[in-house]
Amino acid sequence: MLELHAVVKRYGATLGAGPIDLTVEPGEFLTLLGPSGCGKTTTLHLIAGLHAPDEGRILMDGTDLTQVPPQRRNMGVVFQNYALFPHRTVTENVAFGLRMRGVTPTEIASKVGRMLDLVGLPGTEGRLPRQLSGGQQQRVALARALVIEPRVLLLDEPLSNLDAVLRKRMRADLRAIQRRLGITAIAVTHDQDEAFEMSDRVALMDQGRIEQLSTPEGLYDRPATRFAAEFIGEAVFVPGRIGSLVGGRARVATESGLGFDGIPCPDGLGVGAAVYVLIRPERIDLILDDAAPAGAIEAEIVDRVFSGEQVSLSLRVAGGLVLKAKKPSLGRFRDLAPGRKLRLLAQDPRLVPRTDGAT
Amino acid sequence: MPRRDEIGGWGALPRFIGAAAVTLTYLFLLAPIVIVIFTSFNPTEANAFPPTGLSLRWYHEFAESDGFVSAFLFSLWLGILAAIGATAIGFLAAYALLRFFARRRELGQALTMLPMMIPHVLISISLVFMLTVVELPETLTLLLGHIIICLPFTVAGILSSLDAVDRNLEHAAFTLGASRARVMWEVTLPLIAPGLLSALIFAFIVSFGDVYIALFLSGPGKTTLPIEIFNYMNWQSTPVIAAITSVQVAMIVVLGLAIERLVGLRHVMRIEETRR
Amino acid sequence: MTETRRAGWLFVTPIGLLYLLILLAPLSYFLLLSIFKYSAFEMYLFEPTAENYQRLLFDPYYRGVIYRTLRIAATTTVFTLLVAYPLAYFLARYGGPGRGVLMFLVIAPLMSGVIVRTYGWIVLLGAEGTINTALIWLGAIQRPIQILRTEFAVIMAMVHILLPYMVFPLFSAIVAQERNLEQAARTLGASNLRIFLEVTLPLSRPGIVMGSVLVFTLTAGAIVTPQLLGGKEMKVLGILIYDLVLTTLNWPLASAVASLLVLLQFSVIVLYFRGARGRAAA
Repeated sequence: MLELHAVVKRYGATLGAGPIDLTVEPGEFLTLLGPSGCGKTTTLHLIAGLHAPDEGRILMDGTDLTQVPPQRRNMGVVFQNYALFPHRTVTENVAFGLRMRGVTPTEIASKVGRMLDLVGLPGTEGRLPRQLSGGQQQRVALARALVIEPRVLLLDEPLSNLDAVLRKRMRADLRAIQRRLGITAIAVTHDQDEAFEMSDRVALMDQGRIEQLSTPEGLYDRPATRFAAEFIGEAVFVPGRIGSLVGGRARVATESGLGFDGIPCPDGLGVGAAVYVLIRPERIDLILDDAAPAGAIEAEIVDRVFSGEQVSLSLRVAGGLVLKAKKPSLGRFRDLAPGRKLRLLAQDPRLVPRTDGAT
Repeated sequence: MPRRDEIGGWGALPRFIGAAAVTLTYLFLLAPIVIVIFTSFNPTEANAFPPTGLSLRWYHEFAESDGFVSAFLFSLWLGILAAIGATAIGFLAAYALLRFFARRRELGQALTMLPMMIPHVLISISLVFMLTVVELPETLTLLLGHIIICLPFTVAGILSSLDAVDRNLEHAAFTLGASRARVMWEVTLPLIAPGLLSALIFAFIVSFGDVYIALFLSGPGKTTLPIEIFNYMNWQSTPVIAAITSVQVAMIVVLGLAIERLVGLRHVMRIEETRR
Repeated sequence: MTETRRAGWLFVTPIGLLYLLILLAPLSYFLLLSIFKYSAFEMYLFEPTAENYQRLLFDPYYRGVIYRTLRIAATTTVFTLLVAYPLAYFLARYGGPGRGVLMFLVIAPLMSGVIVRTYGWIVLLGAEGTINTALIWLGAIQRPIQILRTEFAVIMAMVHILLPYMVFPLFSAIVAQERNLEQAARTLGASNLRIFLEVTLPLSRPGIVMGSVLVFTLTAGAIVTPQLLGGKEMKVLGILIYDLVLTTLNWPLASAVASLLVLLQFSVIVLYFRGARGRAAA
């Protein structure tokens, strides 16, 4: 179990990361997700020992690692640009960590061979990094980090230098290898899809701090802040106030006059609290016939963008508010045009506390 | 776009003038050296050009002159030692500036340039003066002086080589368990080997060409080639000088080409091609 | 992180010791000598005096040397700039074949040392030298004219020797300019000359200043070229120091001359920073 307790890193006067509290369970795949400059790579480097924190402590299975240099932390790191030694062959790159540990040459040979099999690279042993494709380099970097049997595998934007197709495949491979070895892994990425597909839990970071730590489902379904809701997927935010609260479900009156009822209310929000009602475009039902289910709202299509597998519609409702809806581009949704009037039903609206100006 | 735009906006006539000016400048730059080489094959005593014949007489003269040969060898040894010293010390300084004092880098780099900012005559008399206070062998003082005037070049060259080394490579080696010394030896040094070799060669060239330090610190039997030539030319001047300098030019062109192959001369000369 | 700090200091110790003990300490001590009395027997006496500076600044002979040095240095700087600018501009803008070779041809003379190039000029300018031979052959003159042992010869050779020191800062300054600035000026209707005067030249100012400082100080401290091409009578500050240190053994006076040289150096560096700041204001 890896623990970070109130860890802070500063670069001169600017905050690099922190304060960060984080616990990573054994065998877990945790991803630090966030925009560039949010402190996620700094956090990874703090865990690896490449930077020393200004405050706080880092513990591994109860022992304090804070002052332990990177050489003795036994963490396997895969760097963003792979950082393969350009003057060393694939074998020499993978063997490097074992050599530093004084492992015998025969044992090194067998371990390196096994590891290259595991990452799917047999036959490349004598090549130099520049003779490999990007995907192969990535696998060498992974093998080099794993062969030392690290306590934690750290991955810094591991897939960002690969093309889209390869990236998809490596996500699955990375996850499979991690599961098979049962190793604890911490990855850093700015790509939400990547984070969600690989991880058991995702720590969403912003401005040096962890904004929300949750499973991918939890982050998507129950974003704790507007930043979280915006970073994960698309959303429209309708400002309003909680009118009443019954059994943990809120009725919200919005400024545009729309009313929402029965929304699950997060802890800490009471009657009168300023909130956003969060509506995801993919969770809007369009009613094209005459049915009128409870809660349906009159709307008019004002814009339509066709992007292949989907159509995105902008829908103006009462009070001038514009909602977005995303629909598969088939059948009756495909040819909806601006000007068309219809009714819509916002499924699963969520509440996010509103802190910007309104109290 | 019309083609004249690609040449920086000279019109037709100004462009011709520009081309002529550049050609003349190259002529001016290279003529004295080319003429020295031609003169070295002159059969007569005169430092004349065009030559009146073709002979290797002055090369023989050079080879048989004890004074010049021993000065040449002395310069050679001095240059090699100074180059090794300046490269080793320069590497340590450059490494420390980038890896230990990164925040003070600008200041540190400026300080290492100190010998470039002091006229070499003054460096030299300071060394002579130091000898009146501290008993040091003259040759050692000369060597130290040469190391000092070579250091700005070696530090700058090695700094730019080190700059090109990806920090993550060293970080990767750290996380794989390598100590700082191991990382330096197994990762950093092999990666900057071309830069080190260039620094070595360039320092040798600087030392070999120096006049000012050696002018004050040469003694009998410990005279560098440029000083031997200088002393000789103060009294007489025959094409033997042309023969010696031709050998020197040939050597330097070969070494210069070696640097060009290794890292590019512009790199060593710190000629910036890109915006900072 | 104290361990790395200690390693850092260890790494800079050699260069630090060299610079401090072998460069700065003796240099400062030597410069200090200028305020002490000269003694024929003990070289210097620890008696503060202004006589060295008085002699240097008021004795017509020394004054002449100072004027000559400044004159040669200033003329050399101006001519080097004039010769170097077109070359630097060309190198910065030329992208065609052989660019590497053309750069190499500028750097190579620099590496061949002062002596080699000075000797080249003796061959060129001597009584039986190339220029005289050519002029006689052309019938322009009957007998060789005196070119060696004139200030002209010294300046010509100094321009040649120091040309690369001017070309490279200029090159860097011109290369750093955005090409589209010139193109933008052209689309705004400026003529080629206006573009050069109002865009290219002002933006090369840091290079001009840097190169001029280098050339000026290197000329002011020169010994070998002035002595070999200027002859025994043409004393400049560098030769003066050389004579005073090695022949006359008047170290306090030599120290005063050296101090003057340092002062000169210092003032051009100040001018340099003024010039660099001027760029920001321009």
